[in-house]
Amino acid sequence: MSSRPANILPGFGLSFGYASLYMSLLVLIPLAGLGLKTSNLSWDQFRNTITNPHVMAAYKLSFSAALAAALLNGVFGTVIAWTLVRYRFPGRKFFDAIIDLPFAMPTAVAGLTFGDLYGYVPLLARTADAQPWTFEIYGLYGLDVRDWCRVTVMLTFVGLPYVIRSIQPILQDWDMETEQAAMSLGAGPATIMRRLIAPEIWPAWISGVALAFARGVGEYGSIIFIASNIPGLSQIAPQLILDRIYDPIDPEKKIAAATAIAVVMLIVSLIVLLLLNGLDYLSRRHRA
Amino acid sequence: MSAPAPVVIAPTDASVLPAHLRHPTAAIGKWIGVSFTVLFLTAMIILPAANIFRQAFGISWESLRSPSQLVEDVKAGVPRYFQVFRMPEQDSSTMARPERRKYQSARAQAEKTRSAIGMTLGIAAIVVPLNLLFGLAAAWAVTKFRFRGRTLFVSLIDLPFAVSPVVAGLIFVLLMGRVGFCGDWATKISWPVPTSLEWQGFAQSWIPLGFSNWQRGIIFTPFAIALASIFVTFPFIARALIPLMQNQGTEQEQAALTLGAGGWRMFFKVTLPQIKWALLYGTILCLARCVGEFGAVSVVSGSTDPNDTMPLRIEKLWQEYNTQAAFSVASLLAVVSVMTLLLKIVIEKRAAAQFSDKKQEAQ
Amino acid sequence: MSIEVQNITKTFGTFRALDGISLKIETGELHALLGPSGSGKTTLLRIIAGLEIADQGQVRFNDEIVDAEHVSRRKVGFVFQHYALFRHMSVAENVAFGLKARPWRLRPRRAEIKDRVMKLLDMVQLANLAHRMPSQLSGGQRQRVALARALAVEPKVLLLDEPFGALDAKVRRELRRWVRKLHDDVGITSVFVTHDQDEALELADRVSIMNKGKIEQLGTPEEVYENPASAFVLRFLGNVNLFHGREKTYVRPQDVLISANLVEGDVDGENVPAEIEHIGFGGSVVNILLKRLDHPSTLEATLSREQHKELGLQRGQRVYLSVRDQHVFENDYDI
Repeated sequence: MSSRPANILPGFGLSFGYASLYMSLLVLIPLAGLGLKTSNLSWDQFRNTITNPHVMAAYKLSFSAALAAALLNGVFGTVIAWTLVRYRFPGRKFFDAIIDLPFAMPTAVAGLTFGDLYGYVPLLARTADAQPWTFEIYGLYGLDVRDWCRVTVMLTFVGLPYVIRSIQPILQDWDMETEQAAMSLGAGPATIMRRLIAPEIWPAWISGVALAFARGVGEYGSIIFIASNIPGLSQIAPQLILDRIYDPIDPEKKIAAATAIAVVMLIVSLIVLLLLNGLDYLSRRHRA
Repeated sequence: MSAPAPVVIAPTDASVLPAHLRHPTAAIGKWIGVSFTVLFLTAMIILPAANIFRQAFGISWESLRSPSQLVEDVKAGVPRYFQVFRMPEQDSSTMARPERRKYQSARAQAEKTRSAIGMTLGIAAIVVPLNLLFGLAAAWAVTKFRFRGRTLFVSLIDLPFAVSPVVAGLIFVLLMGRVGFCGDWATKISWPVPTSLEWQGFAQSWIPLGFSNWQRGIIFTPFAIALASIFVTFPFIARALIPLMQNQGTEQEQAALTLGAGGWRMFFKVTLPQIKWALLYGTILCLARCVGEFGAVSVVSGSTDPNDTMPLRIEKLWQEYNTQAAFSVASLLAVVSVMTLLLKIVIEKRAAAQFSDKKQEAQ
Repeated sequence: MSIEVQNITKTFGTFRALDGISLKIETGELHALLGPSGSGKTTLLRIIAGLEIADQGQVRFNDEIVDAEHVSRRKVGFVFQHYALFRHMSVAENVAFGLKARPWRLRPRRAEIKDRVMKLLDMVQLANLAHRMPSQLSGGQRQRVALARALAVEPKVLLLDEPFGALDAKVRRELRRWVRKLHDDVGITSVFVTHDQDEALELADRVSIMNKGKIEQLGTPEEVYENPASAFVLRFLGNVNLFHGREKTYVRPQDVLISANLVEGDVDGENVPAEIEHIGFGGSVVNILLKRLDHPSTLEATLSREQHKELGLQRGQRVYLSVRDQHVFENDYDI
């Protein structure tokens, strides 16, 4: 990375040097270690690890629940953002402010209180003695339905602010005159929504959903408080990694397995974020 | 020339359509939207948050119906809340055996809880200042200079958002664990350890970290917890500063230089006062995430009691079916997160005021 | 203190902002750098200040090379286009900043700083607003605070970047005169950048007209107006008509003469027949748009109100044009 500061302000060397050193030592080098460790695994070992039924079940649960929660947030978040921007009602500022709480609240605390509060709702109930009620549909075959719902609700909480906070500024800056011009040309609300507002917000909407998804896939702290964590039935991928790390039998092999599981998660998150950057670039070029 | 009154820009609500232009169906839309928003946010955020304090103070659902029950619950709940953190000194020699065991175990539990609070504060005391320096340096380099690789640098700052906290913890296990790359070196090194178990709160010592005994190895120690916490929280301060400093440009700094100011003077007198609110917000957010971090810390802590931070302590109390104690510890973290929200509102108001200044200047 | 720049070149990426500029500004002069946007005038000013570093060439203050001096030691007063007042400091604190920033041996005592700040604020007529914040000031007041702040450090030269650019027309004119008076009182060598030809011609002792990173012409306002060195300068200094004839001839609208009848004895076609397309009343003058009848082009003529009344011109009327003063350039090129 070569550098050529374009102005005479002082401190480029110091600040850039410190920031790069800090980031390399604490983030990049450790992260590179993950890649190196994975490359020690042979392809067969890697494939065997991640095609293990428990691992596959954990991936299915983590990715499907994260996707479902992200899409739920996509729908609910749009309604909420729209309401907060377009309508005036008592308590609007309060509701607007508390949306950021999932960002600020420790996930363990959120999981604790959600489990306590909604443990009595039938679909979300934690019934240890009951027969497991499993999915019979192809993609999610064998996963526990109640646990899947619990995880999804929890991840909806965790990803709640992303969609709202990405489309809210766009709705806020929306030029009312454009809308009035459309009205004067005879457009009804549905047309305005479809032809004017939707094209404006969709890149931000997608990025909000994708961020919520990436966040949900990695979530751990809240889930362990509400899911039953039974391997193959209701265990999320991060929990599986942790189990492997702390497994006392044959730690070397188990840690290698944990690495393989983690790499897949990391790759999926990185692809999502990479696509997002690409989308952002395209939409900006489209605007320019 | 006489001084004109300061220009006040009336807050025009440009995002709301004037009443006479609204479509006839808009009223239904408003009704649906508002009731959904209120119900959803109440269920997802307000009730869970309120429930933390309900459980922390041991208020039962029944007391919502009868005030007398409420008074009774609070009377019993408040002392119990404080006993979670410190069991009052009692003469246990006169107690019957089962009572004494109960008392002693409660004392030990309170001790562990206090130790977890001390550990959390100690970790935050290391992590937040380091991240503060990083945030300032990164934001300065990125916003005041153009250089090749700048975009890459900015995306690298966002990297932890793509990494699951558990994976972040795993990375440090791989690096410094027994089978890790630096394992040979990292598991044999000895270093003075924060004696957080003995730390008795700020009343007795101002420094949460004393260095009295020695620890071997790095992984499953407070050092590893600090590293993992840094990994997870380092973007926050930089993220809070970058958009603001980008907006402010470099003119004021240049003006300070033309007036003969040196680099540090320029920074402390011109740059810092203008970013102080965003810096404070980023710092508080970083602090909130640092004290609340669970996944990464639970991987590198080794689940030993002395290494527990507050969230880990919550989980252990909950595993032991000590619900009220778990919620009491959680209530402290909930207060931190609510404070973060309040601060955010204050800062947004300030930023809006600054923004209207800018608008005037552009006129 | 005189300023001399020699052979300055500066490129941004592939864009050549300055292309071998040399210029000498005399002691006590008020000099204008005039040009369209992108002509490099602001870059040149910033290089003189030390805010940009030239790729090649030298800057001298009084024959002393200052290229190695950092901007904070160069002792220039710089007034930024948008003033760059410190938003979080009051007017008085803004003005005092430079004095307080001095190393402690050279720093005046607190009372003395206060004294000097008040004197400066008196000079810019803002003493009663010393404790206001910049956001509570009007544009013109901010401009004067910026000036006072720049002058507080007793700079060797004063550099102003589009000093009146962000102000409305009336305040601008007032402030222009005031700045000229201030310059005459203080007597400091000053350079200002502008894209407004009226401003440059009215205010400056000498003007450098810049285009595409080069100086097209340097001279007193009178010189450059009367004898423009190139078509660019002529066009830039005001509205101009292009007469298509045997060669390209430029005529200013006020140099076009209109007569209702063909002048007797005109043989070689000096008089051009034209038709009046539009008459526009521009306050003190009348602008007339004329369509040439012998050539497919339009011309503009400016008359005083009296002249216009005398001629009694009407739309659609056929008239004859002659030219009082014209400019022809060798090596003419289009801009």
